[in-house]
Amino acid sequence: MSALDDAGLQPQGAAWIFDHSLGDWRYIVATSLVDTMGRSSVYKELLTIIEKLHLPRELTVQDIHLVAPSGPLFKTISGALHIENGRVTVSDCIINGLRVDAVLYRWTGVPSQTKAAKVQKEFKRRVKELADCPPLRA
Amino acid sequence: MEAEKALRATGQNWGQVYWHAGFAIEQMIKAIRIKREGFEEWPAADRGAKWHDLELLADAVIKDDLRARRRASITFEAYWLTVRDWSHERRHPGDANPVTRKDGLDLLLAVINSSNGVMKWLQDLYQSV
Repeated sequence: MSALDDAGLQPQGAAWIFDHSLGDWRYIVATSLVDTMGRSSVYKELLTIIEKLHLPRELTVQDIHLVAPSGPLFKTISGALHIENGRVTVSDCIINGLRVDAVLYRWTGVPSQTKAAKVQKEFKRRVKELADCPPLRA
Repeated sequence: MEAEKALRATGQNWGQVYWHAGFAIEQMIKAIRIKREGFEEWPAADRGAKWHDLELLADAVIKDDLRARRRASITFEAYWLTVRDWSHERRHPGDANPVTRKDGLDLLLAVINSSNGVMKWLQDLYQSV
């Protein structure tokens, strides 16, 4: 989480969520940047700065699945839970009609347009700053 | 520019653009497997939600090719990750997760970009089999 915040991403949500239809766990990062910048642009910026972040070595950008907080997954869970930081494990739960198995590290509310614009501005500033830093990992 | 032109041709129905762009990728990956393995059609045993998930599908069919291509270009990798996130369930009018203009344009560009788009690479891969 701190690495994603350090990158300026300031995600509204971060969690491991089990996709029951696929039988697979996915690391989901909910960020308003998906709506304001577009998915490709956010991934591209993350790929550019990944080596400059304090992420676990085994975690790559490919492990991250971006979702928009305006989407139904985020809204469904945030209707019941608000997690600023920490860790909450949800097991075999039905939340607002959705079957959820997840480990949630952050899950806050849908940001306002003003807040989303601020997040984008900060992300772009931070990406520029990190571009000048040496990589932390090879 | 090319995505905007393509979108205008569709009448800017974002939901349809999104779904068809992603479905084209799904079908292309499946075509590669069919050609590689000499099948006459997609195996009946390999049906279900997993086979519409582009991440799992790519992992099963083109894992090594994709790894090499991703390493060669950050732009391609960003486009692939965008395409990977396509959901075959986002197609119905009145969907709980309606496709926005940005969603549709983003995916379309990732698919059709002439230099680093995913479709061009898959087409080249298909031809090389």
